Amino acid sequence: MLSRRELLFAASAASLAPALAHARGLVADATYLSVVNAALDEAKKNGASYADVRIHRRREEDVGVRDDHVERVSDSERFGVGVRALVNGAWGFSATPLVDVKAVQKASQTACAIARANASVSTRKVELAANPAHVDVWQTPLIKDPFKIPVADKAALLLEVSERLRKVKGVSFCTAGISTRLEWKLFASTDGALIEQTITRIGPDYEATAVHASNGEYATRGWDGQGMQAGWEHLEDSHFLDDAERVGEQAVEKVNAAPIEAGKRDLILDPTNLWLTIHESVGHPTELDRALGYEANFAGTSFATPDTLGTMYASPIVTLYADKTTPGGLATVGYDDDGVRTQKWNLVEKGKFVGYQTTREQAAWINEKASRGCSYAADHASVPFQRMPNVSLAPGEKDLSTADLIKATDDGVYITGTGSWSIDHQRYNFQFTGQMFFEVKKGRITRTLRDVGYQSNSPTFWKSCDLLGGPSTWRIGSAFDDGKGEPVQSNPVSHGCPSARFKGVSVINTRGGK
Amino acid sequence: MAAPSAEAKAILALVKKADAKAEALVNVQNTHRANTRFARNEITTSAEIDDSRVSLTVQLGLRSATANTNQKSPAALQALVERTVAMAKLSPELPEAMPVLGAQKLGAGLTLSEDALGTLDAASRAKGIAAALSHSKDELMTAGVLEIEHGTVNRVSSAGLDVSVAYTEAGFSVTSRTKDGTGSGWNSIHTRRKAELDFEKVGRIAAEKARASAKPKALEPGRYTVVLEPAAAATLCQYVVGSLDRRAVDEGRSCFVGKLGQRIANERITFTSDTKTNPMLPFDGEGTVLAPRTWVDKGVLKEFFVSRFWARKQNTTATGSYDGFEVLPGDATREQLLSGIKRGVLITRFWYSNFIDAKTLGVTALTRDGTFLIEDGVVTSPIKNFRMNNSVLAALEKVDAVGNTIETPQSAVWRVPALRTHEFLLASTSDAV
Repeated sequence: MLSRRELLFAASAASLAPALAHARGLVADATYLSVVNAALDEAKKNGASYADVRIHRRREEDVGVRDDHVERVSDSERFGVGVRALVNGAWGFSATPLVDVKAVQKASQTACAIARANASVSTRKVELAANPAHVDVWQTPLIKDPFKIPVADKAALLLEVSERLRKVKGVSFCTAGISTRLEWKLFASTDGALIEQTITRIGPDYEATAVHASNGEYATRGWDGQGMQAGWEHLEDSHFLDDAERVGEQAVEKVNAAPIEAGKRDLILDPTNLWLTIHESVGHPTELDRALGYEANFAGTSFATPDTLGTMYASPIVTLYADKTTPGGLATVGYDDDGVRTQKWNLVEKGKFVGYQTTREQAAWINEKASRGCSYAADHASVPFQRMPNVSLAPGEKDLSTADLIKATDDGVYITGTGSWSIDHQRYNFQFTGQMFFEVKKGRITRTLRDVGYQSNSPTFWKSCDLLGGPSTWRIGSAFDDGKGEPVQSNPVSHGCPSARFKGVSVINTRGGK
Repeated sequence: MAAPSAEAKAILALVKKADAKAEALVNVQNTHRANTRFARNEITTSAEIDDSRVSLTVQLGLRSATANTNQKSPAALQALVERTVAMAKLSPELPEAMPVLGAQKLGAGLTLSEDALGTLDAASRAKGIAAALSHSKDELMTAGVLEIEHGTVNRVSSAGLDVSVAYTEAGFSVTSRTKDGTGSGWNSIHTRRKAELDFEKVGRIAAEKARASAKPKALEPGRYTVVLEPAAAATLCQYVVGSLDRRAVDEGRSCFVGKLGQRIANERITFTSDTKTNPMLPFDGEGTVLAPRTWVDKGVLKEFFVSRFWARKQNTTATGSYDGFEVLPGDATREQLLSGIKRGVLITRFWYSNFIDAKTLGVTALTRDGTFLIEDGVVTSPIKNFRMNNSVLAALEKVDAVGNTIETPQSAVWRVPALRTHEFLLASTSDAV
């Protein structure tokens, strides 16, 4: 690949497009190249030892139905430029929605002025880990661009789901929606990086509510399907329509289910439930900025401090890994917002805590020479910082099915789907519910339960994992809007996992409160 | 900042040019945002951002679509109009779409904007943060954020709506932790006035709490009398107003089914929304001017939110959508809130709250950044944090003292006093500090 310096040497800013096209086989808008070059030149002129610029477009389309009618059709777009500059070892950032040379020059000046003001009161100097200056292009592999599927077709599909849900006797209400999101960004840095990425994500969902005819109880059952980085084919290949009748029936089953009796039980967690527990009890604790106190005011800190590296985080059958290259994962990209090529690495290996999520700024904090590529900014107006990659649980070596796990359990609860979630600010004490809860006795599902929550402490919980489903049970679960930072930024992220069993977990009755 | 009414009206004109039969609602928001973050006693990042949001809803009979952009060039606005009109034409009919509102009359409200606050530069922000950090010295590690937003909001419609307002809001919050990792304290303020943005005070309270909360002892989980400082009280009260939707009640899926006119909280509890006393925006997203409301009056549930669609369906009056609330103060000083408590818990704030049972307004959350044992009416020692699982309604029913001062720890328009309540379930301990 050509470095950006080589490109600059060969051509003026205005004529970069052909050279860039040569480098990656695509043609970029020459206007944008002049904008990013103007931003970087202005930052250098204003004393920046390093600067980067992102032209970032976000588009979101949302179609939703409620019962028998379409409730909303909306389309949202945000576009602009963010400039980040390092002056005298301190950061400054400025953003504008105006994508032109004059506006970005002003943004660069502002970013440098802010950095200078901050440097005057700082003792710590920011140092960035070395990183190759990539010139590249990356995009979501997809077959059908979901933005090109007509809104009317999306609405018709949702109305059909709704009709199937409402056909189930006892279903009183339902909602369904399809959210489609696009990120396009052009990143350039004074190191010579120039990277264009296009990321497409799609999030279908629906839920049915059953209201008991006489006792005033009600329950909602959401579809277990997941958002994915993919095209419309993800929805076509899912069981979006086929699952509707079962979801409706389970809403009714749930409202009539027996309340659980609190106590210690073995839990068999379906991937549709376990992914969120991984997110909260492994994904967030292994963020290095949290562990060192940089997020103490809002998101909190972490029990997984650097001095615990090498100690047991989980049982020896557990390996948890970070992977920004997982096919379909919402956090998957070619390069992060520091321009670092993405990768896969272990966080917990055979139960032992071995790794953190890092950015270029953070690598040196734990004596690592290179970033793990976890920098992300939600939009052009957001400061990039460390965000969670896809964090996943490796399947068991033996290809056990979920039915095998149930068969091997004497007294337990099998939980599917996500409901309520909560975890403390150092990621010890957590409490989760789910969508459906099934009592397991002597290797068989005996009845449906309701009002079930499980409460544990992250290390205790992971050390209680004694049985893993095999590769055939491994599924991805996704969160479109994981919040962190101040101002809060939203990060899309996925977690893959097999079914898994956890021994002797404290189960509560959510209505009883204990 | 001037209200961008001319921008919004120009978009309306473009809509009419694209389709003379179209009705439209245009929302334009222009903002300048600034923030400075700090951690480990130093500034980490700082940003200044100019931004806009243009939202256009086009209606063609029952066909309706909404599109948003932050681009305001003539070409971008023309594209927005063309895209929205095209989407509306392709959209299925939306039975819940309501006609755009006509002219609304804004009453005299509070001034919500202050240039002196809205234009604080990076050096001034750093100076304020330095004042807060002056309390950390060597034994504390302090983190926090200062966020300032200065902007204008304008809504116009093809039916004659034209309302606008300028606003400023600053939020400053600080968490101090002892370097041995056993103590943590927090404080925060949100305001629209520079004079109220007391950096030093926020930093001092966070530091004092951090020192006082160090080396906590474990207290057995169980039901306790608790004093909820305003931030903790606000978390619980938000679940009440978040559940006041008349439609959910009418559809049988609300904790408030059959409760209108009934006691849902102790008589000391009154929830209001009033633009004369609360610096909230005077109109909602559709342009409905927000009349004063008393949602809960001396413990009795008086009103629900009613959307325009639901009001038409149920032949009643729409209320508009509110985001500013006040729980009226009582007469208890801090000492009076604590007095008489044989053995109880003082809670600074909650973290990661979530529903566990919508039917009973059951909520879970964790305490953090200053949890203390109260013995014989006095705060005696720091204790470990807890997970609480409680029905918010049950907790409000058992309130027997309300603080005499209002604070704004989460938002300038969420105004809450401290509350004392009983038999509050602290379900399990948390090792988090």
